[in-house]
Amino acid sequence: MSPPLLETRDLLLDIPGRPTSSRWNWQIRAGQSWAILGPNGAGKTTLLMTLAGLRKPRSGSLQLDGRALEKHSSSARARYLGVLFQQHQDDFPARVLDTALMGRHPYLRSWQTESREDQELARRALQRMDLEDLQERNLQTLSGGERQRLALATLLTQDPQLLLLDEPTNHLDLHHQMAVLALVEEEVSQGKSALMTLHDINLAVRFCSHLFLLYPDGQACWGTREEMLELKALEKLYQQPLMTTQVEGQTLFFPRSVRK
Amino acid sequence: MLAQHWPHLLLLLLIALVSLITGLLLGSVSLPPASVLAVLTGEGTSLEQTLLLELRLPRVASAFATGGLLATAGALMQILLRNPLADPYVLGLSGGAGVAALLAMLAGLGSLGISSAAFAGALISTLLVFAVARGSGSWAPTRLLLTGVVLAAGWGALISFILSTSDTHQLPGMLYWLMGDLAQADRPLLPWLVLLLALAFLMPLGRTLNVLARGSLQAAALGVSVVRMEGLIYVLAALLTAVAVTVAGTVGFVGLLVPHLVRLLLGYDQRLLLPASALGGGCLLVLADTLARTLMAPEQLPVGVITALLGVPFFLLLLYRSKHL
Repeated sequence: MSPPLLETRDLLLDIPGRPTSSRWNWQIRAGQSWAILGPNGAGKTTLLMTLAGLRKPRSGSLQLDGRALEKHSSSARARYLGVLFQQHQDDFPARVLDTALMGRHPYLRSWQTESREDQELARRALQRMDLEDLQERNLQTLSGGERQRLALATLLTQDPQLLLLDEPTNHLDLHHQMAVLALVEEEVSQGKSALMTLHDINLAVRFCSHLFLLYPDGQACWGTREEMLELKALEKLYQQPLMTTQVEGQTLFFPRSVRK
Repeated sequence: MLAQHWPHLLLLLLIALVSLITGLLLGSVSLPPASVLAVLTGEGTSLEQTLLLELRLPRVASAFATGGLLATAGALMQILLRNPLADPYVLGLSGGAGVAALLAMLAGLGSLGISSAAFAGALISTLLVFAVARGSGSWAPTRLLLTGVVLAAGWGALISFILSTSDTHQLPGMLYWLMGDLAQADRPLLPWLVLLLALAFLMPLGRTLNVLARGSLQAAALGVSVVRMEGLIYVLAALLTAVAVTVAGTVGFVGLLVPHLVRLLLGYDQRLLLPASALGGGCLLVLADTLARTLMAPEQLPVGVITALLGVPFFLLLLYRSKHL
């Protein structure tokens, strides 16, 4: 069996005030799509940033494709791991097409310029995100949802093995939420892997093969979707009574209203 | 370097040449082009030779290099702090240089002594900001900026103190230095060398700087070694500014204005922005210095006054007409 794409060894996230009890040995393999579920402040974003190598863990280590993460050069790492951030920094103007093209940065030597193929990759990514008509625009003039899709287009241009997505459906309308998750699903079916933080259990169930439940006290459990869909576990996770219903063969979860 | 950028740079190069020639021709005594040509081919009267080769050429060349240094440093600082309002002096560098230069004047040192003091002052201020801003935490752009602004205020108070306690006969020299003045600038070799080396060093880094402008996290996720890169930009921008300050005192506005002008006219790609800023800054300072020498000839104005007087209305007009900064 090939080594897992990304593996944590006794990983402990560095979250202030968090007890040092639970350490995780977790493996992410090619072809898997993971949803990280948890309440506000549980550390979902911290987990994502730590997996991306952008934050140091308090202890433990990460293995990327069988080698310690820090043994990979920073550009090699960026060819394995791509991140969609929750916030986008837009203090400086930039053309939409140029922004998508930045996804090619880890593939180019410093004196190289983007080739025709690179341009073509960026254009195709913009097309998949319905942004082809905006490619000459300044990104500061985009709406929140368009800006989010541009960040996704940059990630598609980067073409990493593992997509780390922090709330990919943020700012998106219903149609684009489904379109984006379907697109991630398509990438995964072609041998990539994905890992995303989501707030919507039903979207997680629909689009992800595996679930990672992150509790506010630093405990976590993970496994395949089928193993993890326990009503009791989910209710404990969100501290919220839930009810379920079946629609077209899929189990849907809804919050129960709490009467005082 | 992208092929599409060459026409813009060639045009700017042409404008730079024109501004340099204008600077050579005009002055308290204007020379006709024919006598300039004569001097350049080794003929012409000895008066013309002295005027052109020993007085005007070093000064015009110094002005161009100084403008180029300041504009490049400004463009770098704006990227480093992710703040379009940053200029080369934003981290308190001009204040440090100013205090040191004024003290050197009080001590009665010559122009070389004043330049060396200014250079040392600039570097001390840079190191101070770097050390304090780093402190125990990370040096986020806002933290760096705040440290610089506070330190600049401190230097400003020291400068006011020195000015208010100095002899009246020393004041004009001090004020001219603080406003930026090219009257003593007769050694263009060092600023040119530094500018050319810096540009050669920066050219392969243009795409990395583009990525860095999108924020340090995004840049790190795209494979940029952010900490090393930011440290490099910081040191380089400080060095360029320190060299510029030793040539001409603290000339204001070039470092803020020129990168913005270039962005408004030519777009946002750092691979074009950096060399274009260098050329544009050079042109602006040469033209401003030419005006400083001719407007009230034989009196000379401090060049910093002219850069601001020229720059402010032009910049406001461009800003008014453009849809975004």
